[in-house]
Amino acid sequence: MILSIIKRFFRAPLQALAVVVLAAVLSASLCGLHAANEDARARYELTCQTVPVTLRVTNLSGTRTDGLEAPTWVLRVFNSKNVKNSLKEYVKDLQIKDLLPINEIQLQANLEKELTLVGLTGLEISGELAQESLVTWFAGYDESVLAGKEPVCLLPKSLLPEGYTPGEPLTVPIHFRYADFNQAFHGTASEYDVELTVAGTHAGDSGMIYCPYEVVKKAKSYLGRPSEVDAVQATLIDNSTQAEVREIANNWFAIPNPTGEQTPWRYTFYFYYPYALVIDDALLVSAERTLKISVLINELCAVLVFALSAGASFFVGFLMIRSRKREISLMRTLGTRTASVFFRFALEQLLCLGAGVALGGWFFGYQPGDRLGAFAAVYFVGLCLALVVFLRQNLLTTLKEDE
Amino acid sequence: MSITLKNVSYSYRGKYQTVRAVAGVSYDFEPGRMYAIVGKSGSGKTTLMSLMAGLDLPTEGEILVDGKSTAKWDRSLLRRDAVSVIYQNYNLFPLLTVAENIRYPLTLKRVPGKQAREVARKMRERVELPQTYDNRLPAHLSGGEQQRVAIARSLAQGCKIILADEPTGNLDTANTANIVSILRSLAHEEGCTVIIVTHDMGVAEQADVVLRMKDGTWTE
Repeated sequence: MILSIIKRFFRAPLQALAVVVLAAVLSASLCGLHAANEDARARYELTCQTVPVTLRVTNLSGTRTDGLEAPTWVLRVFNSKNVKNSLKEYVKDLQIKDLLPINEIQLQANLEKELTLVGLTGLEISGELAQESLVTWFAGYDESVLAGKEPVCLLPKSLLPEGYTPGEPLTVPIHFRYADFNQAFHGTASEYDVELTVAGTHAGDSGMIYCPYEVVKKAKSYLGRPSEVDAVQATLIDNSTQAEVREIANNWFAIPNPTGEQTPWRYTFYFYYPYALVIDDALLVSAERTLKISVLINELCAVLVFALSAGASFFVGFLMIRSRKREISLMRTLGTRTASVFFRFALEQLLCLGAGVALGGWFFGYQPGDRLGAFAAVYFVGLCLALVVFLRQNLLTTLKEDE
Repeated sequence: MSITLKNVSYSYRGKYQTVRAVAGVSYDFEPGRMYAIVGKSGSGKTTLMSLMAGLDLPTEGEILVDGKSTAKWDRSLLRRDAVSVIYQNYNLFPLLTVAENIRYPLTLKRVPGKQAREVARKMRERVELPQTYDNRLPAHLSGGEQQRVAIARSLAQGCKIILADEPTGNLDTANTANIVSILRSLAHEEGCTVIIVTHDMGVAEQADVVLRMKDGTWTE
């Protein structure tokens, strides 16, 4: 039978070629859509993993991240190797913000406002500073200095000495004085002087001088102030670990809902340390939405091509069989069983279809087996359906119509 | 092998109306004789022939082939082994060569290749077609030659009932005589039951029995 089918292909190549070309074109378009879809999915996966998702320590109602004075255990949960299940392995760029009121500063500017030294491990920690984007770095400096230990600072523009030319060396001598309850008993206060090199200026809050977190930490240590930080923020390394992070966070921090159910254990933390760890994935949500639409459009296109291929296969099958109606009738008239006629025609079309699908995949240079298999199956079922419809027709009526 | 019609009727069910093509026809066709059924177009003779060929079952009555109703036959087997049909338009497979067309019924009967080729050769010689025609496609033959190939295929089929629907309708006088002569010899020499449906009274006159049809039934 195969031999006779091959002979037929050689004797009437156009009909077979039409099916091969149609199958190849549809396969290639399906491959293209699939490749685009895979690409969109890959981008989706990658984006979902890499879009920055931040963890913020906040007050329990989740409305404030500044002025928390989070104790050291908060940092240890994030950062220490010694704390079991610390969040360190899940986060990158741990950002800390710590504040220290300045008692004296030797600058020529008119100090009408109280000054605060803000220790940062990076610019991103301070939303208002990053949003302003009006930081001007002096030659030789950039934001990386804030992550180090160098005694540098970013001055508000209003504090620059009059007549100062940017680029000239400038230092800011600062005096800290801390009076704790010991002073009441001993009559002494802790004092600390530091001289910061000006690395640049900013156009933000005129009461804030930004410096590396380590500088503030060191000053606090000299002053004997409690080791607390004002805000802690981190970025997840990989967003797929969100569920684990939430689980760990729930063990260390209260849920940001003061009316929510608290376990006795959590209640202890809530009582002494009213902090919550908030996962802020607004960026991820918006990125996901955009990508989901892109994937959905590709999927819809793929479904459309599938529907088209099913329709086309039925149409092509029907036309092909119509054009060979006489041949089929003759075969049946001579005593060929309907099943044999079906098998022969189905095999013939299957060979054309196989060649077409292989050609389409090869032409595109990419062969997603499952997609092409499903496509071939849909196409083949369409052809078979057309064949069955025709073979079910009354032979006598068919011959009469043929006359 | 005989063929018997018992009160056979057949109706075509169209979209808007039902047409009764054959109306209560009865007859006994005996082996070894050539019959001609004549009648005007639309008289029901081709429908009757198609029913005898097992292309469909009568809507009423029955047709007995070799004493067995066509309703009880496996109709594929009936068409393959008992009744062969020759058509006016030859009905050859356009993409099979002459030899392949003649061999087709033998392939259906799973006759081994060498034996099938031998039988096909003999049948081709019997209808007086030269060997050079073996590899030709039907499109390259004249009408008379195509009809001879159709007869050779019918002979190769080896059926004892041969139905011919206007077998000479597209042929010239010489070819007509030749074809009728072959059909007569099949009836008289090989004991086949040959039934010819024809308009041509010249052909009908050479039959042993002439049956006339009008409005789906016999007329005198």
